Amino acid sequence: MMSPEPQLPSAVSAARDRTAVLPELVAAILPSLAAAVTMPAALWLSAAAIVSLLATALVGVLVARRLRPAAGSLAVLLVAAALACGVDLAASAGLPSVHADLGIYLPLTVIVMSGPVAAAVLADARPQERTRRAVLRALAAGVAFLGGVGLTALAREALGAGTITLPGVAGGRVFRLPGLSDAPARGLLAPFAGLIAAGYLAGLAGCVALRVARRAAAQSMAAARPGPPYPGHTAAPSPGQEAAR
Amino acid sequence: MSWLGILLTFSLVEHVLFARMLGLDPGTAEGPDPQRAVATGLATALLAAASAAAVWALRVRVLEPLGAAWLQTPAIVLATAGIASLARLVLRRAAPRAADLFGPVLRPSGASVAALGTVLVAARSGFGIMEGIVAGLAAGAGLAVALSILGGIADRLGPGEAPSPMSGMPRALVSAGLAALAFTAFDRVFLAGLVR
Repeated sequence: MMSPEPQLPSAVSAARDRTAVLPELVAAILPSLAAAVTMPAALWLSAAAIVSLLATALVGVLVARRLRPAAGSLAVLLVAAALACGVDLAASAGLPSVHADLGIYLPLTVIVMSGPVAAAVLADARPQERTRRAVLRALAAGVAFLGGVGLTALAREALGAGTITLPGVAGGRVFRLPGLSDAPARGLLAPFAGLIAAGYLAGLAGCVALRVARRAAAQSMAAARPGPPYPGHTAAPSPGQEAAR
Repeated sequence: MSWLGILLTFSLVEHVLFARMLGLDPGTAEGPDPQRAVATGLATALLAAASAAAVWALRVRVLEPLGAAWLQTPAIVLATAGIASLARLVLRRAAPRAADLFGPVLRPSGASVAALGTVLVAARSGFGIMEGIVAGLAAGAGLAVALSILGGIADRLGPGEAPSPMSGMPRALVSAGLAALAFTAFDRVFLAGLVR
């Protein structure tokens, strides 16, 4: 006979719930690293990702109350596809250089980023708090995207081109880094450097998830262990201890 | 571009995983599994080829006559997602054992994203139906080879070689980066020399 699954303390299961989406999120962020080799590219991709995350999370909240899960997923996909089209058209009309630099990655980021968070929103077991949790999830994923892609782009541009481009609508301002701009490590602009950077970022995310789960476990163990009600308090002797005395 | 050129470009030069960073999902990164690598490559190839054909038909028969060619991007997304969902449904009903193998790789990450990216590239390059199908098949073959290489690397490294936060997906990504470095040998100059 199979033994039942051990019951996790609620704090640990909540921590696992918060970090369960991390591997999916890393896989969703990954394609953007192929295109994000300058800060403006990373910031435009992050803006598209945040818009997509918030829109699909809110649509997920709306449809989760009214539709079955399969129909809800279809509704979220339709919204993501419409957003991808809108973002792509807006970029080609207003920012042609950004549109040319990012290519397929702009619509792809909108589609791919909407998946994990919308799925988590649709599967949320707490309907009363669904809206707040959906917005928080979307913002957290957006910040994770901005941090991961932005930092990677900054490091790759600084080391690989010897420049730092500050974002701006008219091409931005380019600062040359003395020393590095004379002999940059151009290989860091290639996709393989993005994959290696993504590997270390995923390792960092895993490390954070492990720490969160360990802290939650320690807190739940401390809460389960009865401590003295005030410093210096000693418990009354049990009948067995009295008898032994 | 000739069919041979498309084949070599999508399978080696602009590799779906090593150059475009598409097709790696958390499940694929869990450990060495040659069967899963081939399943992911096959799913990507068939899904990308079918989507490329469907999108070409939609564009030529519906969108362009209506003057709505700007709707190509949502058409690609919906065609790829629809074909992936239909394939999962049909496999679950008709061949449950195949569904166990192909179901996880047809999730919204992995093979589906690789196929979506390939079809977007093919559409933006103005490929016809046959070029799109060849590009999809080549991308799938390239992905199968790449995932087999990553599986081999993970097999040789063993479970205890990396610290625990670096095991799984992070290790697969760093391995993929190093393998991608080797694939930079297949560049456009190499392709031009080979196809000429």
